[in-house]
Amino acid sequence: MKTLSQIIAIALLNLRNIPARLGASAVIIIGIGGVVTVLVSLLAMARGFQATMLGNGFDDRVIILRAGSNSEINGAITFEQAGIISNKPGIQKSSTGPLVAGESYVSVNISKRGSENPSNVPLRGVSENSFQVRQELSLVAGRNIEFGKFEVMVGVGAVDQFQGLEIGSSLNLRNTDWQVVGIFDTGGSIYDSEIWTDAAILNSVFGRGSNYSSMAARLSSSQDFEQLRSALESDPRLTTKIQREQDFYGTQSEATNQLITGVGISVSSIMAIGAIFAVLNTMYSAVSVRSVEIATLRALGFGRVPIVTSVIIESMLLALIGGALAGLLAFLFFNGFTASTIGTNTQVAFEFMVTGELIMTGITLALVLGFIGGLFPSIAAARMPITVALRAA
Amino acid sequence: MKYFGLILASLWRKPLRTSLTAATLLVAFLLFGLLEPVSQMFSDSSNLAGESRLWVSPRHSISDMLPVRYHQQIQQIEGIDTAAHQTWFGGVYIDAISSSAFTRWAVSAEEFMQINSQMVLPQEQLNAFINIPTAAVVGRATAERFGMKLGDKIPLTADIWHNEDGSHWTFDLVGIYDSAEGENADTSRMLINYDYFDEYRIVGKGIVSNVVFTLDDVERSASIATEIDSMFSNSQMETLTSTEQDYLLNQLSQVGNIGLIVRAIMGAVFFTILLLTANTMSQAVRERLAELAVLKTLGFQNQNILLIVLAEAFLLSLITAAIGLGLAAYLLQYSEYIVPQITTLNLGMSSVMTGLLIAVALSLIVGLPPAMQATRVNIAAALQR
Repeated sequence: MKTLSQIIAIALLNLRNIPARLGASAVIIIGIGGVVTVLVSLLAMARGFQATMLGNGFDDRVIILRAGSNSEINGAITFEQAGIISNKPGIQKSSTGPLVAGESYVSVNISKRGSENPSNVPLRGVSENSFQVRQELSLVAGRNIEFGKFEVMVGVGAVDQFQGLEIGSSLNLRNTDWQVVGIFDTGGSIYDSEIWTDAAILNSVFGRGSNYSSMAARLSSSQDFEQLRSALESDPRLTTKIQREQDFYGTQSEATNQLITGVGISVSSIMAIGAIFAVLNTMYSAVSVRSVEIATLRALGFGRVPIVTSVIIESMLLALIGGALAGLLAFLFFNGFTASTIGTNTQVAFEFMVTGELIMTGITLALVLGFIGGLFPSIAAARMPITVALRAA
Repeated sequence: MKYFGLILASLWRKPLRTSLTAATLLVAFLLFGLLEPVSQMFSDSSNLAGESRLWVSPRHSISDMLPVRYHQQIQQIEGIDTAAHQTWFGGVYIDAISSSAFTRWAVSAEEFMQINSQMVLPQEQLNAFINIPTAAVVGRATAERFGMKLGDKIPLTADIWHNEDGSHWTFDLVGIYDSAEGENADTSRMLINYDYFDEYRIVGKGIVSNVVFTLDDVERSASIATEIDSMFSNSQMETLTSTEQDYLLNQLSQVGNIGLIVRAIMGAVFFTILLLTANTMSQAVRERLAELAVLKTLGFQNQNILLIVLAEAFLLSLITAAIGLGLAAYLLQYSEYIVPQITTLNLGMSSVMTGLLIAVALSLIVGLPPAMQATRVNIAAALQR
């Protein structure tokens, strides 16, 4: 109890004279704030990318690919196999038949806004059922494509990131002009980065023959996954693999996610080392300026523990301010910031997500740095012989 | 120069503070040295002239492929020395992590090895590669990483190219190549024979990813590139001829505006460091005002005082910049482990110069205000304290 009241007394004393050492204290706030800003922004990028790839969380949706394919770009399911798949049990039925859609998927070169270099933008050839399978799709502007025509509709993410995809513009792909007739939104999922057209038209222009790249289906209920899977696997005419949509895109996002997170962590670790030196510097000089004060306290009977603790409290408090400000800055500037990057094969448009959890991660890092930066100077302060320090005055 | 001892002594007045400041600066220049080459790589403008090795790829999409006959057609163009073709095999070796450590290509073996003269293979291994249909060669780095030996069977599971057995392919390791460009060059790729691969793949026979060629006369690279692209301009599969580096960089730059992100990080780092160091420097000068007043009393001119204080900042930031950049240059040798497809990152002369310029600018910005303060010191007032 006595120790505690001593700690509080000294800590308050220290904190009250922070205004007198504003410059030095700002060093800690800014140094740690810089590290936390970089870390939180890069992690927010990784988080936003992952959220887009994991989509809207419909667990009754599946993707069927040729066995051995890891992405739609490598897929091939013949029209004949597609017909067989449609009649398997477990797929939800609607008035127009089973909710399963054969889709063709290619990557086309379109430049990002503000760049001349081509990027790989996904072009998905869809069937009439595709719209019912993805029930979250809503039209933001224009109209749906008409099948049999050279028309495309574009996701909101793609319009935002790439050149020449506004309604009414014409897109030249493979020496063929396609009219942009609509813009759709799927609530931030990966489909928002895509351009959609009629699968039959895509197949003829891109020479894809009688093959789909993949099939998307809606299950009667989430539990019917196993039923459909065993039905597909036991059919000797099919060589397919089935995955839940979330698992499929989750696997695809892993590598990119790890890369961004890895870069974020390495850069901020190096910066953190620099920041620790700065905190040490400030706290050592804070302690040395106060050496007489500290010696006086010790002479008055204050223990070593309260001295050590109060110095650490000061540096951690300053670090906390820096971390919190940085989290706030990152949130104000980067939350909702749109960007696009390459997924497995094609571009994915996404928004940075500065979540409360990431800000907490940043603040935790700030506190750790503040602790390390305060620890050594505080020990030096406590070890200082009373008489020497007093005589120096 | 005669004040050098004085400058050193005042720098070393508080060894702990100077060391900590130096360490902060060092970290900043280390980060700069590591990131600047990355940003540089993405801002290098492409220049076809003088390139002896060019890539022909499908113009419109990475999911497209070229008919193999393009290889013969390109080979016959006047001015082309040797043309080879390569096809992305993909596939899985052991698991996803191991697979990402190296790339696998089906190539026209003889021409490919001629063009890529930096890939050095003993003659008998080269003959085996060309003559044995199921042969494969891997680079030294991959062989060492996975403990592969000549004579090993290397199993790959197909993800794009299935064969009649489904997805299992097996190749015989007949060669391990080294790089003529030294230890830091990329020796990760695995190569297999195109003819064997094409015979057994069940779909897409007769198509390849790229045609690669060398020129008789490097000065003609730009005109030959145009000639090739116009030759195929109205065909089903239009081409784009570029340097290998440009092709790979474009794929990589699609990750995002890397150059911009990197520069933003460096900006944040230096802004932070600037404020940290400025504070320490002015603190150091404030503490010494009495000493500076003594110097003035002894007859030092204001400009001398100014120079002495500035020189301290210069010395500190230049030394730390040199060490930081040196450390970065050392660490960059290992960059191939991070981005294996790209030629090793190097800290070029221009990056070093930029780094040193930043050091000079930094020392001016942080050194000038306290130096000015030092010249304005009032002798009597300072000595009284």
